[in-house]
Amino acid sequence: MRALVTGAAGFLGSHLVEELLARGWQVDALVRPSRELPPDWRRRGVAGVPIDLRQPGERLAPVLAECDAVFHLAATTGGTWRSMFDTTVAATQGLLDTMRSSGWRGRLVHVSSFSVYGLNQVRARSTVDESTPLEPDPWRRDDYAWTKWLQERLVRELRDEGTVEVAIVRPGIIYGPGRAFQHQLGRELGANTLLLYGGLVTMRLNYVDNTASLLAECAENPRAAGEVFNAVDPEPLRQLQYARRWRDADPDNRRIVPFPLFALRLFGAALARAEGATDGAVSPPSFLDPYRLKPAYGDFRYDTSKAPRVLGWWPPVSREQALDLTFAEAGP
Amino acid sequence: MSPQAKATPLRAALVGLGAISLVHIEKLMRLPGVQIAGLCDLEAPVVDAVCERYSLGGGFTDFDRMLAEARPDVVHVLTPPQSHRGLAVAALEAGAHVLVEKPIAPTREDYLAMREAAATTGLHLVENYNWRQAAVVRRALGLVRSGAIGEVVHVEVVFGGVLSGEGGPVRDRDVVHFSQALPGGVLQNFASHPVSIALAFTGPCEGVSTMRRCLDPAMGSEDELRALLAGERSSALASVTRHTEPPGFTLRVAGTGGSLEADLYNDRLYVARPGGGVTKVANGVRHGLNLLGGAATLFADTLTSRLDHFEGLENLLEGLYGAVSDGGEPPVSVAEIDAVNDVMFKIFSSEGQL
Repeated sequence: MRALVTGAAGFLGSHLVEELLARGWQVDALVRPSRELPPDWRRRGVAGVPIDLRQPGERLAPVLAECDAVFHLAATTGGTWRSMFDTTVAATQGLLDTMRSSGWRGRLVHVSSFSVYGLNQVRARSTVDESTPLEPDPWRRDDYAWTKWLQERLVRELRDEGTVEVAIVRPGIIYGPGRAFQHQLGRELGANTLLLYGGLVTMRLNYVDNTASLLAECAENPRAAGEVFNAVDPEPLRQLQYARRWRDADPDNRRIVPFPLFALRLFGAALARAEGATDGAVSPPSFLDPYRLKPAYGDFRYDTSKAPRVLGWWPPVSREQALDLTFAEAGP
Repeated sequence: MSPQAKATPLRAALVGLGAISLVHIEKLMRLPGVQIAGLCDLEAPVVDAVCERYSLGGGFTDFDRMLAEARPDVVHVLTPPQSHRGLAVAALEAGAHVLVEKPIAPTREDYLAMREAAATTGLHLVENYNWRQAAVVRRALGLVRSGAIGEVVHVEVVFGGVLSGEGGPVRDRDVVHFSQALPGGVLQNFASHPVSIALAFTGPCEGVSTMRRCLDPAMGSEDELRALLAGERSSALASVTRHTEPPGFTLRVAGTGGSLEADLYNDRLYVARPGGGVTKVANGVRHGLNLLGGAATLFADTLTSRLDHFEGLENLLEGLYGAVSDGGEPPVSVAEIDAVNDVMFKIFSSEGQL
């Protein structure tokens, strides 16, 4: 079995390549021409495919023809809205159009995002699962949410055409070694101080190797075709529990400064009300915008039962193992 | 007559849905008496996405078709500068006034062709100097013109820390950003801001000496600019710097009867009066109070999103659409665009290089 992985050089992509190699796949790693493949990958048979999906040209179709599965991870989180659009949406359009025009018939495993859910329309402390309605106004969130929402819609359109088997995975917050700090905690004040927003919010954490394992399972398991799976680890963890693990990895230097979440919410709500009263002359800045605050720091429950139920798959790394692995390297 | 006084709204059309286009759309949506009649980009998915976001019809991927079907009164040309000439001339020949993003053209030849088309058709051709139109710059100019600092002797404008951080798409090594392909590279995309402000205070420029250099080879083009402009009786130093931190945009005007400094990002203005002794102490106290007041205002403005770096564009659009509506003068004159671009093309030629 041969897989093409887009965004292979990224955090999740590099873990997925390892997972696929361990499962015996041959891997084509699609990376931008300016990126180097790790030398270790070359030795282990990973083929580099230097294509920029924003301008794939004629070279993509022959690569696709050799592959049984495509894992589509390529997206960006920064830059202008247009550069995010080009990298996340237009590039996906190009990939899907090539699949259509070349008559490709493999399985597409698409990495979406939790940001596609309409969490403003969900009551606090209620349960979010794969049937939760999608965001009605993604542009009100931020450019990342908007472009990931547009990207997933393109993939769902391809799925509904019925020519390519599609599985969609919506990861929560992916963490692991090298990516310990999470924005669902609050804000970083310098390298070693965390301004913790609240502390009691249940985080939608997903250990990177668990995400990679679910993605691989979605390519191998026939029951994944046409399905959407959330990727959130099953043992819930609150902000304060995670923050303490982060601090305890380097207790002499790191510190947590709590900040009441309700104060942010109250001030944000007051400014949002003032926006209406002043015809937009006053409005909440992005970090106080209630429409952004709730999806980021709302306290929801996450139903993690679908992947085990449908696929018979279980996250291979437990919460404690994942935390140990994540914070081991940051030790004093 | 303001645009809102007209029964039929003015029709705006935009070509080039790049990073700045959403700012134009949002400003136009707040402008009374103006209707967005067309949005055009070569990429259909981006046209569809932007139309959906703002609940707008009139999406096009063919510019000529947009001109014919949307029948715009004003076309905003927001594409890379290399394409401005063809689009602006076509829009003018179709009977639309044209607002062009800076820099108006990569070469003098392109600019003159656009200018000629505007003169022939009798329509407005305006380049977007949004920082020149910012309220704080207008206040500073008002003070200078009222004689508050005497005769202007020297002006310094520093546009600092541009492209700080990763530099976004400009640093993309796989898809070349349009600014990297300009004759003056990335700097040419920014220099019209400080140059347009400097010239507003000095008047016509009689000579230019320039220093351009690259401090970061990975940038792919020169990233530091100092341009010394000689006016008839005053001088100006217009700077664009990528490497100074924190990012800032400052203006200092020194005159025979005092001096003035403005912080454009934070909308703060301070005037020092001439004299020694008590005046010197008073200046220090007033400057301190000005800074304290500025800090408090900045804090409040940040929490209420009142600082708008594109407020100048709002002012410019209001002036332009007002001029189209009542036949008056646009906020940026042909003489001003001529003067700015004469300096721009000198800066980015080998002429006067130090």
